[in-house]
Amino acid sequence: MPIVVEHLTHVYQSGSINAYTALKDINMTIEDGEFVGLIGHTGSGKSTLIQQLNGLMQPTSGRVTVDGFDMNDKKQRAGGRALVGMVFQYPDYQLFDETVYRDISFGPKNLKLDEAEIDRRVREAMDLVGLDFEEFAEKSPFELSGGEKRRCALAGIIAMYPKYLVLDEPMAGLDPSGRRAVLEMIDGFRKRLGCAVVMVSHSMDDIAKAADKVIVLRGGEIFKCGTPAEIFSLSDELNEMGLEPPFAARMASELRRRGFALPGSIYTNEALVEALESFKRGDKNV
Amino acid sequence: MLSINNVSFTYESGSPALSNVSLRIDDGEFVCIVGHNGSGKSTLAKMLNGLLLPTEGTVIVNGMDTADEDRLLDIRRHVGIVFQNPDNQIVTTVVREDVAFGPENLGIPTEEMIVRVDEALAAVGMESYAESAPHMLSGGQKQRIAIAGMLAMEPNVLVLDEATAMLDPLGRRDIIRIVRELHEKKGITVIMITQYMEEAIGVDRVIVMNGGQVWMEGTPAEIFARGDELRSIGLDVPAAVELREQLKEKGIADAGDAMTLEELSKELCRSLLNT
Repeated sequence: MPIVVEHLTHVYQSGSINAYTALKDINMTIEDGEFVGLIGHTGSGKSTLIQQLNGLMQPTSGRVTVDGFDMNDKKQRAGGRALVGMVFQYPDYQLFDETVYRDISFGPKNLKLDEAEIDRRVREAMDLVGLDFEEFAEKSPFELSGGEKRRCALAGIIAMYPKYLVLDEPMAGLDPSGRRAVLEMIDGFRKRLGCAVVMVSHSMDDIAKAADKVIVLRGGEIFKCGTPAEIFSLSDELNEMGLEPPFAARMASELRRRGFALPGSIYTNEALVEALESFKRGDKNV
Repeated sequence: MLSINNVSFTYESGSPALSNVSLRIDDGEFVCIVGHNGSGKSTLAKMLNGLLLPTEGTVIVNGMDTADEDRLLDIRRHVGIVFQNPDNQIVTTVVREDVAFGPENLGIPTEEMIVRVDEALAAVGMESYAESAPHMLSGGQKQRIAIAGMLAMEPNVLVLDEATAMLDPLGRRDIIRIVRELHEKKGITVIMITQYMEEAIGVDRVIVMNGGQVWMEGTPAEIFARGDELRSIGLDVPAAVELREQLKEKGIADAGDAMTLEELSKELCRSLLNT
């Protein structure tokens, strides 16, 4: 069963002169196991939207249901929330316990699992995020580097086996190998745990690598929802919105402008290299 | 001129962050320092105006030793640093006051300060926000205010310590454009610390840090010609360089040392379309 968002509108300070509509009539579905990229310019409503997915915020009107649990209903909310794991942009704020082990075990403990199962999950989660158990289990989370803190926060969430994993800019501030590692890791536990992933990112290149479906928010509304190929063929529109399409898509559109006949759906280097290869071979209209 | 002489630094927790680093940065240079998380680049930045002092070695700023406490104010006036998280750098509730905070502490007379604040805000394109509340601004706008705060102190050297890391692509591009302008128009020495390889294109010199040491140094073209070595220490090359490498490897086109989308597309036209 999916997460279903129906006619969701969110107004901050509703009724006052400062009333501000952050989201307007949003309709979307997060299917089981899919990787959804959520993109939009700063202020487009992304953060407001993801906080609705696990009931941290309730809509002014409309509804979110998580596997049938109505998140507007206080009694059902806890049931839905247990299925949705959230990792925020600044993982520092999510860490609080004395040791990495205790921090990661906090969630599973709240699920009332027995000691042996908690231990198994902490070890598994640390393994999945690439934190060596011997080295890190007894360390204070505050001794960790930025990248390690992020891994620790992620481990705490995946140890709860969420069915939906919601990530706000999980790669911000990491170096290139850190970005790659985190992205591979996310895809790794998506496959292992079978969870769906909703990832907010400014990096279209990262979204292009990972997502099955891309949702573009503009001014609090869904501008477009589609496959990466469909979305990234809208290079000009994305540029206008202040979103930078993946490099390969921008490059392809520049080459087309300069007279290359290239297909319209290119958004990865692999596809662009292949298209240029056949262009060179002489099939000038690939 | 800034000179870093055989500098080593060890944090209290015991791990050495810098070991025997020597560098010279000349007046008017635009230098980019890159390195993965934990390579020592931020520690190095904090050495440049005495926020951290070397465990061994010396840092000399325009003839002043950062270990000399009597000169610290002069050194900070000379070298301004903008950090990663804009929220931690905002101290007041009105933009104008925030920008004035630094010069005020330097004891600059009021009339001159007003002029400096206006100029600094104009230089970062934020003059129309002078009376706004900083917390209402976007991350990119906050970073512009932080830069303006530094400019108002009229530093000779501006250090950006991953100042664009938390910004969206547009915000990032704006900051880079503004810093380039400052460098070109006012001749300010810029030391930019970053993980975004794209930001190193067009600078005078790139310094690559690894394991607390200077690992590689050269022009952007020289550095990015060594993609495999960069990847081996967790870094990357700009997207255009990566594509250029792939095209060359497959024998599709040799695009020389093109580093930007513009340069690469021109090279491809030349070699594939003969235009």
